[in-house]
Amino acid sequence: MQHFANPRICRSVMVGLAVALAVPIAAGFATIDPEKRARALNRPLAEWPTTEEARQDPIGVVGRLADMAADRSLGLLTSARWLNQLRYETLGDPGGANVVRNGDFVFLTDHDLNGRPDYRAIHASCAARDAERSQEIIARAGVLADASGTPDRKSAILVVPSKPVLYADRLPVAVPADLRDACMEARADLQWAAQLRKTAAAQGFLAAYPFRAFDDKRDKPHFYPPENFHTAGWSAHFAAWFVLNRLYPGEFVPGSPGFGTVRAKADMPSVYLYDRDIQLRTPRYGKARATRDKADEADLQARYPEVLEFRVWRSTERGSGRTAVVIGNSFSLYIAPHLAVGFDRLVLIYQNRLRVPGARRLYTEVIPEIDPDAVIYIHHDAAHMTGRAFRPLEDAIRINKAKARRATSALKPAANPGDIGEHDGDE
Amino acid sequence: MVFSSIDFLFLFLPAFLMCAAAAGRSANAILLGFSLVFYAAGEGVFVAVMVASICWNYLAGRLIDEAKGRKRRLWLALGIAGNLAMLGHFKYLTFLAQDVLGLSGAVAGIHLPLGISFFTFQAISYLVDLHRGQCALERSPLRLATYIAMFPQLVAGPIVRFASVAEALRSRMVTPTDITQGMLLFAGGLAAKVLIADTVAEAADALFGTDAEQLRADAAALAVVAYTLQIYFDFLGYSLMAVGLGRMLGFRFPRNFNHPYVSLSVTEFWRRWHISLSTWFRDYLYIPLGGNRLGPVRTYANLALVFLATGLWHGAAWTFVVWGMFHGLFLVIERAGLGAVLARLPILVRGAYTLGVVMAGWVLFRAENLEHATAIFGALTRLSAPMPAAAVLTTELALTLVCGVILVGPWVGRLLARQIALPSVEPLPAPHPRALALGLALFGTLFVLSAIKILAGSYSPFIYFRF
Repeated sequence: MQHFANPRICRSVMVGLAVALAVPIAAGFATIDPEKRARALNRPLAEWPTTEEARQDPIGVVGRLADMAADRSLGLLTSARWLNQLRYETLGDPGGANVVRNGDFVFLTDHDLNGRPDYRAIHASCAARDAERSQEIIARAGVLADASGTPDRKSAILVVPSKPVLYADRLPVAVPADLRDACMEARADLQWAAQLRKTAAAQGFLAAYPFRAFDDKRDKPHFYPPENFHTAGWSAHFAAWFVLNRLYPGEFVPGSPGFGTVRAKADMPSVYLYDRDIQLRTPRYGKARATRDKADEADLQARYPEVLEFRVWRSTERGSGRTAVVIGNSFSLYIAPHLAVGFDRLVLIYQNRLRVPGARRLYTEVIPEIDPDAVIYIHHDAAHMTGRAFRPLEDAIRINKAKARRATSALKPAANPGDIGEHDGDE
Repeated sequence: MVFSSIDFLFLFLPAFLMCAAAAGRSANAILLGFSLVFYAAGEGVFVAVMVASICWNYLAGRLIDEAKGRKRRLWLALGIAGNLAMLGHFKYLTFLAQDVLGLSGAVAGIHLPLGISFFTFQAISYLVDLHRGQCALERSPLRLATYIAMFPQLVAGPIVRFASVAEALRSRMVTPTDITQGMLLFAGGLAAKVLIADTVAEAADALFGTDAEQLRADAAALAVVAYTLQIYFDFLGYSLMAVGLGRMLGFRFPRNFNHPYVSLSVTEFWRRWHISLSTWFRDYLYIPLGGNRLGPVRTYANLALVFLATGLWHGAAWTFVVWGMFHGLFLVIERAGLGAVLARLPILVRGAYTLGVVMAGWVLFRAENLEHATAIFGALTRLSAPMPAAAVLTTELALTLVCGVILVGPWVGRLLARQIALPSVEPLPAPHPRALALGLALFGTLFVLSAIKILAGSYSPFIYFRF
């Protein structure tokens, strides 16, 4: 038996407290858009168990309900944002679970996180560049260049230096010492890049890892935005024109346009959860500036839905008459606008969401249709060292080749000309 | 389910408070129902273990109560044996088979149900107290089940004696002061757990999780300091939350911590640390063994045995055994003469000695195994190693460590007590309205900050620009 000394007051306080505590979840269920929340969390939200699931694990229903409520609670993202802001802006701490910080320099540790950081992103950048790995990378790069090249078409592979290698000496002590040492070694070991460049030249394509050029500039203010994971502004322009100057010598002198400093937003918004203002030094291209062509993008998207993500830039002022296709990971999103200045039309195919069926259509239909003057692959060094730069493109190229071989053998002159018709029917 | 989780704070607790506010005669049924849901949410089918414990102890209690003479003693022995058998199966069988007898693979995969050590010890205390005539038989299965399963102190104590809550289980009065004190205690406990313990835990976990050969002396020292604060504020936080929830329901749970890190001897430390456990062992093991009445040698042996049991109670591993024996050894030495020597030394020296012993003990307690503990002790003297303390020392951690160190003592509480209503385990007269308002504002703010951290903690970013 439970009595209250002052029932009205006691009950009011308890009910009031219960109502106040229920606000995050009750209001969350009422106001949160589940699709938007799922996008913000980058995973599906926990759902109410089906009757079958509840029957199989009746006690588990409580846990599922708890997960469901937690996913939909009001203030989840706001709280994380506030805490990140407090940690970064006020306390000078990293301000995000997936990053480490040394002064202004922020380094991404992991693209996703389960508990403690594993520093997978830094491991990938600073992976050992031994001879065997180098040979493998060079061979695989050759496969890509070969698949998209024709005698009239230039092929290029741009490997962008990432921050853990370029600024290895600025990795904070939070990064394990052996990993920091590996990054310092990666800085010094450019053998693989020289080998890649030579092999590419021999095979008729361009391969560039502009590490030395980046290293010369790395300490200039606003070259590689310290708060960013990606190249942006000056460094993105520098990488783009490094390639343009080698594809079309004499036309593009690095740093030839004027530069200005602008306020911009840092990348990794899903880590910080708020727009972190940064200073970017960006070139002023003037009339030659490339702009997005959304109509062209929508048209390509509609015709090649498996390719998933197209971006198109046009720079009609220049009138070079050239077209390019860029295939790359997130680094290409930052570099492509600067590359686009060198072409009338530049079509970027974002590789991170590409799957084999889309990649196959890319080589068999998209590139032949666009018929570009240049195909440029852009990834950062980590993607090359881990082989992710080549997926799923290699698989698509292999399958396309196998299919082409089968088709060719099927079309070989048959002993009895009448057999050809049967083979055609099979195909 | 833990108190510092979204589902407990914003789903379970409001639902429970709503029902508790409406409860009258059905208060125990509501408390038991919610306690079973609370347990099942975290432990699933292992709620059956607790239900079995309730049934066993109800039956044993009745048999003890009805029997006379030797039979009464026999039923008590059987009742305790049943409890210990259950605890032994779930907690110690794997350790016994694999680590003690070396039968690797013979026993594996036994799940340890949460809080089993707590509710088993509560149940044993009920049977012993009943046998000793220190409490009456509880004839109502509902009331006994409520006592054993009561969710506020189910997971992390304090260990509540049946006699101390028997009256409240029958009829309890909740006053407005109980509710406000309960809220203050809960908010204070939550802040201790979330704002201090969880923050220093990140550093402790990172450093104890690193190969000890990589740790420089400052990093190893930070690991020990961080863990020393983590375990105290974590345990203190849970205990305060339990006491606070109990108070809001009309129960008065015992104080579990009394500023243990300001103790001036290891003996005093054990009077201030996890008080409900140390008094349990005193009353149900040390005194029945003879306590200090059978001469010095037997007293030392009893102390050693009690601390071996204390170590094992905390976990089934050699590290806990050695930790318990380590503390037992210092208690024996202090009783044998060191205590008298210490009493003549300056307070700072006594405090440093005690804290040194306790912190060394925490290394044993936290380490993965004895080799790891040895390696951490070794790291404390290593002047050159790849991992310095700065590797994990953020501004947030530094501020939290400072706050933690300040709050381990009673000084801040004493300073504020005149102006602000502070959480208190002991019953106090109703505070002045101004002091109450300030107390609610302060601890309300701490609650909101803790809630923000809990909500933020469930956000685990996954960046889509997979490369």
